[in-house]
Amino acid sequence: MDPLQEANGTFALNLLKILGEDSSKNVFLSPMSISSALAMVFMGAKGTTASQMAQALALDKCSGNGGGDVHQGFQSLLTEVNKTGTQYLLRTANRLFGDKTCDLLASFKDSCLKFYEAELEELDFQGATEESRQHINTWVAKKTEDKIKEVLSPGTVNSDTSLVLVNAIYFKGNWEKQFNKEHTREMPFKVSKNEEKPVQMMFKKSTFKMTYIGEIFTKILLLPYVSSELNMIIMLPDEHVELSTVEKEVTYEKFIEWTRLDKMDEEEVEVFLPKFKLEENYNMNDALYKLGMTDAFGGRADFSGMSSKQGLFLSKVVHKAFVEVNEEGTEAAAATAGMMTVRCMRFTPRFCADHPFLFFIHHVKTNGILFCGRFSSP
Amino acid sequence: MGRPPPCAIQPWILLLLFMGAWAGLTRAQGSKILEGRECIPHSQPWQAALFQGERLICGGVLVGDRWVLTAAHCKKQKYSVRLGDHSLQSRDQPEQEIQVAQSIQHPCYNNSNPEDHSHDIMLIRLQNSANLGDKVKPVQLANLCPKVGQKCIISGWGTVTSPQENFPNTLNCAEVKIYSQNKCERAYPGKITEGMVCAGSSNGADTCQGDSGGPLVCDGMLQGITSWGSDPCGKPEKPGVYTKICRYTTWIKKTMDNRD
Repeated sequence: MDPLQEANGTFALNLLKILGEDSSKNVFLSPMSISSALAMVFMGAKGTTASQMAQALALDKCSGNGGGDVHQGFQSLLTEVNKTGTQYLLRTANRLFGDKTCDLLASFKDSCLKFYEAELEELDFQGATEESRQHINTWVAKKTEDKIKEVLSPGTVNSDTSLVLVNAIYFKGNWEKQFNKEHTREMPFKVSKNEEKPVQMMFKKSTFKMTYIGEIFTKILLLPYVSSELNMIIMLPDEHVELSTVEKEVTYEKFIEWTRLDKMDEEEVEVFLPKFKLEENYNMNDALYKLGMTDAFGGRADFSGMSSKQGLFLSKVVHKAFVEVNEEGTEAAAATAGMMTVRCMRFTPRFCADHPFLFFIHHVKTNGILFCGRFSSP
Repeated sequence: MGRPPPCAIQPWILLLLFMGAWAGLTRAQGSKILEGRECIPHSQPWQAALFQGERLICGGVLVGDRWVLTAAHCKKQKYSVRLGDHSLQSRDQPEQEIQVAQSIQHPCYNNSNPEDHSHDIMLIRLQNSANLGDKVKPVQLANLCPKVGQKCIISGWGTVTSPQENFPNTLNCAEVKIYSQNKCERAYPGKITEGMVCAGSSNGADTCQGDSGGPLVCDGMLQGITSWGSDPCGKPEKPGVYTKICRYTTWIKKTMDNRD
């Protein structure tokens, strides 16, 4: 197993659990994007701050002294995920903004550019707080083709702000097997035992990989995106099973075991999937704090690998992720033409995502979790 | 076979009462509801259901005390026939379940090509005779072919929505009209034989998955056996296709006589 991928996977699932503590809320994030941004900061950390960050990011097992292996690993990973010519739309805005008094080291800036394709930028948080906030928002909007407009809401930076790590990402993929828009219709989504909300439900009957994990009473379906570069993996518990009990059981090792392609049967399935957009905004400070990364946010922070100036600390880590799930795919228009069939009973397994489910967008080549989320409510 | 979800019944009734153009409205709304309703219990006393264990696989039609007619594509290794049923969930008085002794597909039915729907007709010989009464009664076979525009009744326990499937507990009925052979041919170019007849409705009333083998009854005579159609069902321009009974009455009678 790739140690970096294991680290990223563990981090992903840890974050999903923390950010998803309120089971009524939808969740969507890009753990790979967050971990790569934080790994960049980690490159400038020393001492206890560094060891805490390694722990939070689950990087302890990857050459624990914070050596080059980690950063070279991220370099390869990001190159693969972000390469041009892919069939999916991925727009990221990843940057560390420091107050102009930080005096960031040239060597640190060079390393960020080399390993993380990220530039650093110095702003005047002290003297021009609001202008700095707007500058960051404008930059993010531009980088994400106006998909993400206000990554920093008013009041999120102030004159004491030192370092702000901004990570915003927009994703839109086309299905290898598109859904027929004509089949999309309103259906009730069972938010809880007592509550239903209407949702636009897409429908597709086709051959997909699906399996059932008795251990967690959960069906797992794999929906390929174009050219099978990415897959959406959906974990749907049985009707009577609370999704939160499933979430507790998911570890990286189990996730890998349950989603092994060679263990999943390929069969004709009737898929019902909600059409949705999720735009989730996270102040990551609390979550990272819970994962053990405490010194980085306060007076005891040691970022001497980043700047010779004392007293530098991470003020804010912001993550915003946006996803669109709709019918679009690459099947020829002719595929929407009606079929002809006999009218006996079909015994087609059904995957009906009309109650809360987890989903992961999996990058096939790197075997990484690009995104993960939970759809709890329309 | 289909009917609107319960909450939609009243609007349709209102539309029926107040608007002559309701068919157009249905098309404009893109409704795929299969436009049926629950049958009056036991009003189709020839209706049979084919079961594999506890699973419905097809409909059928009682044509003699030991004989059920159905679609050839409904053949299974081991299955049973339920007669006199209305609600599949409850076991009521007239209901009978009889094992299949023999399945006789039409000799020209092409078992190996699922794309060929020709001669999609089969006789089932029951292991013992059904107890006939006013709720379990054979239907009369048509001796004349159906007329274009003739009104007929279709029935079954198949899904009431398409492509999403929702199976009713009770037998559902709908009214359809016989389409001309030319209109049928235009709907399914190159697929229609002389042994097939199309029936549909401008409101989208149609048979669907689970209804195969069930009856198309016109003026009390069996004119068709539910066979195939468009997927999803319920498109007025793509009517249901039925095996045309008037083309097969000789084979049916001869087969029944030879094995009684």
